[in-house]
Amino acid sequence: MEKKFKIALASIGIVAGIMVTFVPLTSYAVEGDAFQTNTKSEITIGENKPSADSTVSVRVAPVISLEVTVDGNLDDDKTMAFTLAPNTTSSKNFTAKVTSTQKYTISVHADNKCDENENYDADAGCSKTTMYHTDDPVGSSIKGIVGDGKVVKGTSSWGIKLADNTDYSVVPSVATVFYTSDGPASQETKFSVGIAAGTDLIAGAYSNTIYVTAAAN
Amino acid sequence: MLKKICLLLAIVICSALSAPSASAKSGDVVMHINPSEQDLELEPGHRYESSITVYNVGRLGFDFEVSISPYQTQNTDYSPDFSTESAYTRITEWITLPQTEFHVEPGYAEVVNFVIDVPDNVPGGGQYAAIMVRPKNNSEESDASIKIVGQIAAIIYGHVNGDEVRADGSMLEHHFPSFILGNNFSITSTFENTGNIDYRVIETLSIRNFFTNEEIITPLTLSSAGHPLGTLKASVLPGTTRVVSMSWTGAPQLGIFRVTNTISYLDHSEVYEKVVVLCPLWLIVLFAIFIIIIVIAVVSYFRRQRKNEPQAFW
Repeated sequence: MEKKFKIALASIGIVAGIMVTFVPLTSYAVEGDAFQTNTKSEITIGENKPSADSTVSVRVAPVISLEVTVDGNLDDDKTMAFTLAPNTTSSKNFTAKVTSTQKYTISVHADNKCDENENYDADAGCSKTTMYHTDDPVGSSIKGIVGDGKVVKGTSSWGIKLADNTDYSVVPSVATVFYTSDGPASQETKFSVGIAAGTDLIAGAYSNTIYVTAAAN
Repeated sequence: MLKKICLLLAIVICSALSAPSASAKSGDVVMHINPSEQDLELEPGHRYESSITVYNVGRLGFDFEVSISPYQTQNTDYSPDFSTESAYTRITEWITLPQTEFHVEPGYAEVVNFVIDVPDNVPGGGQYAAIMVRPKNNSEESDASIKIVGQIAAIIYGHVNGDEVRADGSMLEHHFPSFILGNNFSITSTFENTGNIDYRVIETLSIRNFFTNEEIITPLTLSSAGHPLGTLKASVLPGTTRVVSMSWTGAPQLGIFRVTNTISYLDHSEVYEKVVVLCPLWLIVLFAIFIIIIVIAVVSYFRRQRKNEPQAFW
């Protein structure tokens, strides 16, 4: 019996020893942006006084940049063109590349167009935005494609999601945060827009605009 | 010879036709804003001029337009809200833009000026707005399509001077773990603003190796990209609660560290010091198994001793 315990203890010791050996004890990963903060990059170095009367002060202004590209689009008009037959779905991606010296958010919203009888609130606007037929931009006579996020074959809907997510979300009419960085960063965030065309749609072109807003947070 | 010339001509024509004439590539239209936020000290009845600069750091020139939106936040994660108006967003009515449409060539910048006319007798306190900068899309409307428009919000933190200004708030929670399974090291603080003007939270972090006292992170440490690693500044707007966190995502799996966290906000300044142990779950499990085996061995040994079966344990 004792022999078995000894073997077990020795085995555990050997396994633990090997695993601890492979655990990096001294690599702290301070390079790059491993340590992420929501820092506002106003750095003032005012304590360094080389002489009695002089103060060295450096102020770095917070900055942000944005680039939006539509995957597979050879034109620079940032347009996603879909061609759908009834009872089919389709999706396309776009990418927002943000470089910021602070923590930042990426918000998304679409033009405030919807059926005022169903998806409209006087204060909040459209809860689900709609792609309307180009022959009827206000949807007075031709049914539009409602952005309820249910991109399912057999329905008429559209939605948006982070490309890595499974489910589409409602396309909101007010800027809604889809991504928040952990801190200052230069990152690409990929979004996916999906459309489902049901048999209830009149043939023709439907359109809307998605606004992607980057802001320091 | 004629065949060869025809073949060569065909190859040249095919090559010319297959080359994309105007392909959009990454880096074509890249907009850069400086500053992405600014503080403005305002007096009632005075006029102020300020600006933001829009740089074209892409390869193509572009037109852009600017507009003013209110700026507030929602929830403790501070999701921006660019549509809701309140008593803290009246500054949107005070700002005018002398010019709203611009064109900027690659490698150049355009200064977007704006004027703030602060009315007389406005109450003191915070006023918040965003200058939205949006490239204009000059393309024709295409069929069945969704246009994607990228825009940047440059945040204005206006501070109107007056007797009513009340800077007040507190730290509601501070979560500073001393034992972490894995390497998900994070310090979280929750702040509340009960005044009528925003205040800044400044947090710093110092991390030293417990055994060697080697400095790993200091408040002045910068990343290779120039981002501060051990200092954090965050605004807390009036009437809101904000969760602020600092996390060391590249922390090692195993180690003992001496961590100092300082927090400054309003006239408060606090220092927290802890020894933080990072340990992977598998090591805990192995250690637990080890202890269990030791206990079983000891119990077994004493049972045999009771039965008068003298036997060396080891």
